Amino acid sequence: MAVDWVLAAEIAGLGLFVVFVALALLAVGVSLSARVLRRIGAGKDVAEEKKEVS
Amino acid sequence: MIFQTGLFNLTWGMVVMLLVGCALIYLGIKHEIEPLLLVPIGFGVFLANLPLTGLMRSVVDGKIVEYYTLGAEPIGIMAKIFNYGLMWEMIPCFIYLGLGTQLDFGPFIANPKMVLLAFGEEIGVFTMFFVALFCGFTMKEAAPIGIICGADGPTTIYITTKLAPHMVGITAVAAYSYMALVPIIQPPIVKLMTTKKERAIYMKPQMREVSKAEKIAFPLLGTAIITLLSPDSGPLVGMLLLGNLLKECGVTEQLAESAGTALLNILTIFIGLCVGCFMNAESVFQPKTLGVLGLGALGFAAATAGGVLMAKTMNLFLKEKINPILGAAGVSAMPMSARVVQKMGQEENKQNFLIMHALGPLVSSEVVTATAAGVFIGMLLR
Repeated sequence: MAVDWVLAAEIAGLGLFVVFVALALLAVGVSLSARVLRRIGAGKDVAEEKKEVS
Repeated sequence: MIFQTGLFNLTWGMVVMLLVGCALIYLGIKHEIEPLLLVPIGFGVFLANLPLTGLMRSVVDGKIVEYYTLGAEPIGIMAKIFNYGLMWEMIPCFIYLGLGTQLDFGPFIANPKMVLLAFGEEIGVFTMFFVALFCGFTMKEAAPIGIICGADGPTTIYITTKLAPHMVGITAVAAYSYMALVPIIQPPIVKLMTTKKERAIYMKPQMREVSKAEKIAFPLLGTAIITLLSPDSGPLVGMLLLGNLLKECGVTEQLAESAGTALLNILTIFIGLCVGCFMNAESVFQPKTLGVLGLGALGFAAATAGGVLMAKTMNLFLKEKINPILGAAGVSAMPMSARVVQKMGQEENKQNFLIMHALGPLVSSEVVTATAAGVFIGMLLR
């Protein structure tokens, strides 16, 4: 059976693009959510836990 | 009557496969190579190649046959587990739920730029997709062969059952075998692609501490981003990150413990036996099937090389250079790749502790492989 090389190239191109965008969005999203959480005070619990232990 | 016994129906192919089953059980028990998988897979191979057991018996076009094919009505116990467990996507998804309870996304959240290393693995995945096409595989067969490069067993099985169910036994064995061979395959490739000076790059072992709120927010954020971009990866990524949420939220400890121990162990037995039962003599002794094993090894090497290349590319733009050995951790072979990275880093620079840096790309590659599988499924099934 003949291979549809155009579709294959489309799959590879789209696949790499989607994966790269997903990784970039994850990296940006994680950094942003960390800032937002810190700003609203929800990201302080590591320091608080340490204080409680000490 | 005597002609209806198994002895008169035994073929040479079956005898060879019985020996293969014994070899897998031996490797699992004696050398402890992935014993939780190789022992049930090996026994599954053993059972499937004893004639007339009826384990895979099913009804095809109104006739009772001794094998299972897509669309058949299952009668035998293993055919039923395969049909309702794997074809209905239950087992790989719930295995991902269990895996999610065992992953710590903390290193990833602490240093998000490192996740780009997992992109290198995907270069290997799509390169092998093309190599498999050149070797004569169809597109639906080439996609699972590409995914083997990710060394991610459940994802490989998930995509194979959807696109090329006749190959599920061999692709699963290839994926799990290469996971076990990480310490042999990865170091020479990393050494070949890096200089001694690059491998000795020092990285500070400390990373910022990640708050509980960030760890709880991540599963929601990750599921939304990945599923919006690649909807077909939703079942796998959703289950993985649900498992992680159960672990991180702190109020569902019993659920996280059940999913990560009892459920995961039960499903591992089912998946091992199913995969083994699909390795019968007729389906294994074909040039295409044997080609999968060779291409899988090549692909795994390509994914490692892709990760190292990605690390070197990132170094062109970063002020604080990263050690390119970390590229090997872009392959989702948990936890072997992280151990390889740590060991190689220590060999070149005794002060280097790379294991924490390796965990970020390693856990993100679990998510990324599922994303790539979602793209293949979306493009090839619609």
